Amino acid sequence: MRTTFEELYNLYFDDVYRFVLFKTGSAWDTDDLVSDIFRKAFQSLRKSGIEPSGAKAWLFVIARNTVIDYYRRKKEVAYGDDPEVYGYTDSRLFPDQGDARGECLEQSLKELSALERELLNLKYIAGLKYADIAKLTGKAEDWLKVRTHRLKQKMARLITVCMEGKQ
Amino acid sequence: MSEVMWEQTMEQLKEQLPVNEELKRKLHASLLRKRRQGRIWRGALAGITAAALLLGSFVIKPWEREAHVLAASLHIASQFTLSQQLGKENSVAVAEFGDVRYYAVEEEGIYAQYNNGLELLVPGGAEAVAVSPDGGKLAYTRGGNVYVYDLKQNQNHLLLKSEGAGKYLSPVWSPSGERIAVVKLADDKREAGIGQGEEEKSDVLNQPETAGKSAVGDIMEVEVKDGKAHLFSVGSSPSYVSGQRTLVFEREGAIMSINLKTKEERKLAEGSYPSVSPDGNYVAFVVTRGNPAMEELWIADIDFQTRKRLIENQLADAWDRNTGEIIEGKQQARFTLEQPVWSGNSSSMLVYKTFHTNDEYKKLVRLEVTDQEPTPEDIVAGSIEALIYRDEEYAHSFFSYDPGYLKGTSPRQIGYSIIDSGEKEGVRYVDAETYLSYSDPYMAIQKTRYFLSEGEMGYRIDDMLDLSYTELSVWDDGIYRSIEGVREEEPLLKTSDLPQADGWSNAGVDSLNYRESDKTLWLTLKREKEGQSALSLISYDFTKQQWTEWSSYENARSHMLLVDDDGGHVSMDLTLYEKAHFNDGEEADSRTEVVVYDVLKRQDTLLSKGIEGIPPDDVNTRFWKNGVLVYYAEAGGRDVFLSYNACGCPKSP
Repeated sequence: MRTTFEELYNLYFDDVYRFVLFKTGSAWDTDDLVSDIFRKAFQSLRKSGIEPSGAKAWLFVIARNTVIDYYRRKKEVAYGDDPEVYGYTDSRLFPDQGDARGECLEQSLKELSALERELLNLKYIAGLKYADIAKLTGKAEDWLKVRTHRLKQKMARLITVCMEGKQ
Repeated sequence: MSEVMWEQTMEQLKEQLPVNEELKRKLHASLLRKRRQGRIWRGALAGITAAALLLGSFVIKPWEREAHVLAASLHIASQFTLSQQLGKENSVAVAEFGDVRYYAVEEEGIYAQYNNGLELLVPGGAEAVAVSPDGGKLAYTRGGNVYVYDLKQNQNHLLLKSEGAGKYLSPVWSPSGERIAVVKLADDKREAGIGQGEEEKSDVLNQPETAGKSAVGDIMEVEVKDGKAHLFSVGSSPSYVSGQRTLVFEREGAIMSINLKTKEERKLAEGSYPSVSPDGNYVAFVVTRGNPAMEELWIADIDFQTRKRLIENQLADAWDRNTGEIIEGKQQARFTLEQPVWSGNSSSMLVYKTFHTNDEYKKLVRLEVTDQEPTPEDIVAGSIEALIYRDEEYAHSFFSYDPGYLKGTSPRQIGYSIIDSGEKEGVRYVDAETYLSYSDPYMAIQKTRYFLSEGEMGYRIDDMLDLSYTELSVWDDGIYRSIEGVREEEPLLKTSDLPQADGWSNAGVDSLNYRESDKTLWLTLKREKEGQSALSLISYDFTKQQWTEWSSYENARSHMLLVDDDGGHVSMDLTLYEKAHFNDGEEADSRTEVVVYDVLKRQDTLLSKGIEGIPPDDVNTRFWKNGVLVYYAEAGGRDVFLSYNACGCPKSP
């Protein structure tokens, strides 16, 4: 059984959108990029079928490559920078909501490396399984699990310290 | 933070990333309208017929210099960045002797890197390191003091203690190993590059400040046996000349020499960071030219009879140091260069290359020097190898124009073959196949014609022409070939053709690699039986139409399958699980391994078993060349490249 475009779109549009928005920090750019991603997916799906089990990972390969191309065209990427973690340069990610917890969350995000943000994005915002992230990044699943666990600990520590400071 | 709170935090994060529902609705409508156009299916059935002639890799021979070769006749044979994570170099100084490289890492100490591992040799911080001419001792500085570390005895002793706020920097050994020259930085003298006031800085991030960039102070010579020190001159970056009592150094943007007997000084050239080769034949140095200032690496004969540029710079967009944004209409040098230093054998050198953009990216680059001019084949091979090592900037240095972004991610470049070369209508060309793959069972063969011409820096690529793009990928019912993006209607191999093992059922292909030269497809095939799982390494010979079973690994998954040049060794990036448990549960217990399988001996080697020193967090393969597998491991805060010599070859790539 092959995945239809309709299924792909309905199931994963929100995940792709949030993934790109978290990477770019710009809703304008995100709209363009997400349109581009689904156009590419639509065309590719016509040429070749995708099994439902691999559909999300397949879609995110297109999503990541589209974002990489976007940064390359913008020339904002330094030589030597890892294309796998392009983005995450916009420090004004969230509007000021005057919420202490939200502020601490944002502050803790700023402390993360680009690689850590990418992991956070793929795992918790895009909601990908470790097996799919492994396919996307070429990293072993156990490596990803260890890194994600450390990332959780780091963020939890940063948020806790920040919240304590605000009390 | 509890698991529940973590989930709530992540939900909060997602809520702050609102989806554009209007776009979602409109895009959906727009795309589904297109669907009515119907499906066009192009495809042609063909077997694998393209006969690629494997000419072997074009490798410049290591430098076996018998007679003195003038500097003007030297070339770079290879350039290699010594950290897998490009731009994340954490060392501040480096020295190399034989197969061992010593890194000084400011807060940590001195690391030694061997072909099979990394070791924290001297903990406790280090600002500089130099290896003695016999390779037996290190001189290094920590906190402005000079220490000597005996590598055979593993003994450390303080040679010179800094006085007051002054400190010693830049130690170098004399050719006899009896003395060390250092720069004594008095407390009222600044350490250039970091001591400049804010008001002096340009708005542009990268205007190289060559004169005074290295530490300027009194140049002293100290006896290793008793620590007696003598003052010789004022400057920076001292370097001894073998066979003479002469020291070359930098002062105020000039390369100077001093006769240590007569104290006579002489200006040799404009430049900075002089480093004399241990054989006393050449001096490498940095030259700054033009506006905006461009730093280049040059090499000259020790008497400056001839000289040659080894690394040229390019203009790039200028970045504002305050805002971290590009300054429209302004340009700067692409990089700055620091501290070239020769290896003990005088045939290679190491230099720091720093890119200043919205952030600072530092690379430590190792150059192999040769007296043979690289051929067009070497140039093409070098550009593809640079991409295999993910070094986009170095890959671009082989082009006479900006070729755009070349580096692949999924898939990425994993190997290449030069398949033809010649001249057509007066233009040199080289045809090459680049192989691409990634963690999926997928491989692409990209055939490209490169056009080259010869200029001041030797051959450069002027243009590229895509000749063909063939892909192999795994589908439910078989392994298919696609040509120019169009999948063939019939599979090359049906899933039902995959060999069966007694009592086991096949459960899919994990990785694949195809070698056109011997028409052999290599696969890792998952198999399952009553709660057990195995990964089998198998191959299919298209000429003989024959399957071969090679090896099997319990509870394993593979992420990459590479085959060496002659098909004699296969490497696999494997995840080995404690039990047959392959869902994505958090608790799955597993470890990552690289396994090399020897086809002739029918035996395998776990590379992690041979890694010494700091246990690596993660091991991954990178590239086979001349029977040596280059792989990398994350250890000691850096991704170190290590090598496994599978063929017993005398030299690593």
